[in-house]
Amino acid sequence: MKKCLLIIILVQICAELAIAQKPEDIKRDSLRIDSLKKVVLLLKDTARINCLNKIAEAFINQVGSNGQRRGDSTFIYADMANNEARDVGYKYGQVQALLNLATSKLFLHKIKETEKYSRPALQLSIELNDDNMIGRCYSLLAILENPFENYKKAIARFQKTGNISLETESTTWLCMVYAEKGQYEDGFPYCEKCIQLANENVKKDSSEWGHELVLWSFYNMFILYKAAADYETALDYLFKGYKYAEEKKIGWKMYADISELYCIMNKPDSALLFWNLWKKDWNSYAVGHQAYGNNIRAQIYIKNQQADSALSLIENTLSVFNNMGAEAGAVPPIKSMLLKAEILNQKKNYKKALHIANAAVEQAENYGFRPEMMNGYLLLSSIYHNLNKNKHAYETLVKHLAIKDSIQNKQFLIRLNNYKREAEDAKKEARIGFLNRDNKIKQQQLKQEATFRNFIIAVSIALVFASLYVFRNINLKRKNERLTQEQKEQEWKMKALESENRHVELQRQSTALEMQALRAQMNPHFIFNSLSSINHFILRNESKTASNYLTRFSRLIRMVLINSQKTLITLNDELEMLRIYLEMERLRFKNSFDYGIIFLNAVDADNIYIPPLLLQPFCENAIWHGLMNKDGQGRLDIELSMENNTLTCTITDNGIGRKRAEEMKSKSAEKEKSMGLKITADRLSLLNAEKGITTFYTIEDINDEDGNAAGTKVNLHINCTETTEVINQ
Amino acid sequence: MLKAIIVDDEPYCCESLIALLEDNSDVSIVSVCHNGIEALSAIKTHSPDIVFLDVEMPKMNGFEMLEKLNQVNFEIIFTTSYDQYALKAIRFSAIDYLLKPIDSEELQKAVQKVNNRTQKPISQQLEILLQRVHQPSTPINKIAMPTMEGLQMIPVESIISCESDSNYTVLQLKNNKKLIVSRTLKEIEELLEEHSFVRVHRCYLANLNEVEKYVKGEGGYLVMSDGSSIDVSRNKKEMLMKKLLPYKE
Repeated sequence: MKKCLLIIILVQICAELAIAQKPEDIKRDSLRIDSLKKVVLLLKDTARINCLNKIAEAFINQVGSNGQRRGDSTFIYADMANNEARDVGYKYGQVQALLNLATSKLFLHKIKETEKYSRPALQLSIELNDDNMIGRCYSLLAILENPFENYKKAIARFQKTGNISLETESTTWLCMVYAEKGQYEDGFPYCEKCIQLANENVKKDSSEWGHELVLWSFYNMFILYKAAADYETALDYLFKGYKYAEEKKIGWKMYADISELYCIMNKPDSALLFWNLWKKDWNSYAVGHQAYGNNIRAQIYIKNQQADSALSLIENTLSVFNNMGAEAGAVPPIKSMLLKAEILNQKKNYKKALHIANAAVEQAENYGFRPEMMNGYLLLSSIYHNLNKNKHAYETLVKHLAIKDSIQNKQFLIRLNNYKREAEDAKKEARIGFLNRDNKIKQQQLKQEATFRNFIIAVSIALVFASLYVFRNINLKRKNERLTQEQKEQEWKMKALESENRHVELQRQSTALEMQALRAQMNPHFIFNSLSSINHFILRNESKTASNYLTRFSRLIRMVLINSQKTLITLNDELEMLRIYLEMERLRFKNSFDYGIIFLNAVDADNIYIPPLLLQPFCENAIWHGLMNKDGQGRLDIELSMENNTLTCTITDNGIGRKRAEEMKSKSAEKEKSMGLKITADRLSLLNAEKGITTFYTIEDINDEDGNAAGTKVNLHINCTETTEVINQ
Repeated sequence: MLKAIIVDDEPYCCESLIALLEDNSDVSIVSVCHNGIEALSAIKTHSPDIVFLDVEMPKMNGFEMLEKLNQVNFEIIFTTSYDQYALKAIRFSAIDYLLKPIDSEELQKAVQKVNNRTQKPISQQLEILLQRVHQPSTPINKIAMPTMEGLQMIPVESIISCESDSNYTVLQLKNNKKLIVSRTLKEIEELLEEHSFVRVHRCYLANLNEVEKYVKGEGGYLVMSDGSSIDVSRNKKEMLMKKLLPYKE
């Protein structure tokens, strides 16, 4: 019964969960049903009713071959149980039956009938004064009406009976409802509690469902931080969930949400990576969930300026949601419509975009979905702006800001912030508590040792006095001699230190000088490579390409000039330079390779500082020696991840490999050695010497299954003591 | 149809700009000048709508030429290649500029902006610009901010904080008003960082002169003089502390 309820809500909020049931589970359930069916024939009265109820419940848990729940079978048995229980006046059995009936109707999306059964169930269970039953009735009713009130009532009942697993569930759904309506601030205490409850619950219920509830509690926190626009922390919670799922072998790995969040964070390459991970289990997803995933894919297309692919995908999902009708829930279609409007806006089809965006916003207003309203107004404002209707644009932007202010309410942000701090403090306290316990054990041990030690000390003191008397005379004589010798030694050491200091100072100066010289060398290297390709375009009369290339080249040079004045720049700036550089190379090689810049975890690229132009030479090398000599489409991936203050950059190409590149180089007439890598190696070692930053890189060859060279991989590790001192300089 | 004058000492730059403007039916070029003196007389005779003005010219640069004019009733679009100081001054005044070599798309956007503009507070913008050009290191008291309705001149000290919202930034002003500015937070940060403004969070820029107190936390938050509060991200905390307590070591 638990999981089914979940799925109903899931369809509405369209979160990520594979609805697939394992084949062995299906087999086990049908065996159970068969045996129950046999037993029921032998039973009478209340025992028979109980058994009928059990069969109905077993059907609830079963998924048919088409992925649909067996609402009909449940209904037949529950109805039988209901009638018989009523006839004999067995109230307890009747409530059970009514609850099953209501749930079966819920699966068939017959909301009215669900209500028909759950109301009498509530009445009967109040008569019976059974808190667990009453709670279950309220949580069913919550799906139909007054979700906040009814879930709270249910939670109160479960608290009374101490049924922690049902309490956790109801609290989770309550959090979801708060999130859906955008009332994050009110939902916050419940989400906080949910984490506690889920952790407690999983100690008793270590089934897959128990673990999934823990994942849900992470998911709820993710939603909160996402709403507060604190994407880094939101991503932390998703990765927490991902690791937890990996550890406990749960199917729900949060891939889709990670992908969507990366997309919001403007990191489309990373989003695509996780989307592809999500897509691996495509066939096991329900239709609605597939459409939900396609929505995310469309967002990635939009970020990559591939409006046409995005549009065809969105048309597809919209028609899927249309066919599903009420089953699709209200939020996903609105999201899809907004996406469609955004694409049309990008394609400069403003009139149509305006029409669709207006329709979507209107729907969101009707349902009171504030997050969608917020996004919708922002989109409308942009469309109006493009249509030159500045007044309308301004008005909708103000509306957007008003909602945003109410959602990202300052009080809410501060509470979230405090929660983060408390979590940190709790961790510290736990560590202190642990240390204290350790100390106590040690103290006891010490006491035991003390008596033994006292004895030893007494004996040794006696010995020491005796030996002191003997050595005293000899020592005094030697002391004078040694003192004079020591004095001489110290003088000599002082001199050595002084000269060493001077040496270090000189070396530091030369480091700075060399650094400047190397940077000066880097620029001409860039410039002449590019100038020669512009020349090439001109000679071949490709004036459009030449002009295009030239504007980009100047943009790049401008960035290089500004950035190379600084010793350290933000990772973001470095990546932007790299992106322009890669675009230029791609243009030059007629799109013969693709590239991706992928963040593997929460890398705060605005706050990580690295030496400028560190990554470019490695990419240049990969393109010129690895990819350029390759037949067919090349691929260059730059993957970034941050752990323990160390930024790891992995630059992978699928080129011809180092060995063949070396051969080709010696064959070609152009003997000029690539300076980039050598210079970078020099710079890295200089940086090491000066700043104490441990930076180093390794190069690996990649081989395919047959042992042939299939590319090269460079791992670059940069130890980043995060920011601050740099900014103050 | 907008009447345009091109002022640039390098003939090649003029020619390429002419070529790019040929695609745009909204603009007709009435005169091409190669120095400031020519330009001054051309402006008098043609009374143009737009002047594409190069900053770096021998004898009389673009700014000096503007100073010679009694009245400016045309839109200026500066064209410049690489001069960080000039660029910064231009950004303060929110006058449009194009970087050479000129990108055709950016050019069309700039022209469209001129077409859409209704209000022209150009003289105040020029004032800000020229003040900045003459005294680049002294903090200025007013800044020009492009809003949806046009331009607004804002005293720098009246800004309490700035909050980013995709392509817009919301300024929280002292009189409890909010102003939506069509600039990214990063652009505003570059202009205001020498005016005791600090980026304390991905989304916030705070005026340190308006900080009432700092409340501890993982990142903590600032309470500003108007009672509003601003989140501080954990990465920026240490840097903020150093700025707030400069004498503590």
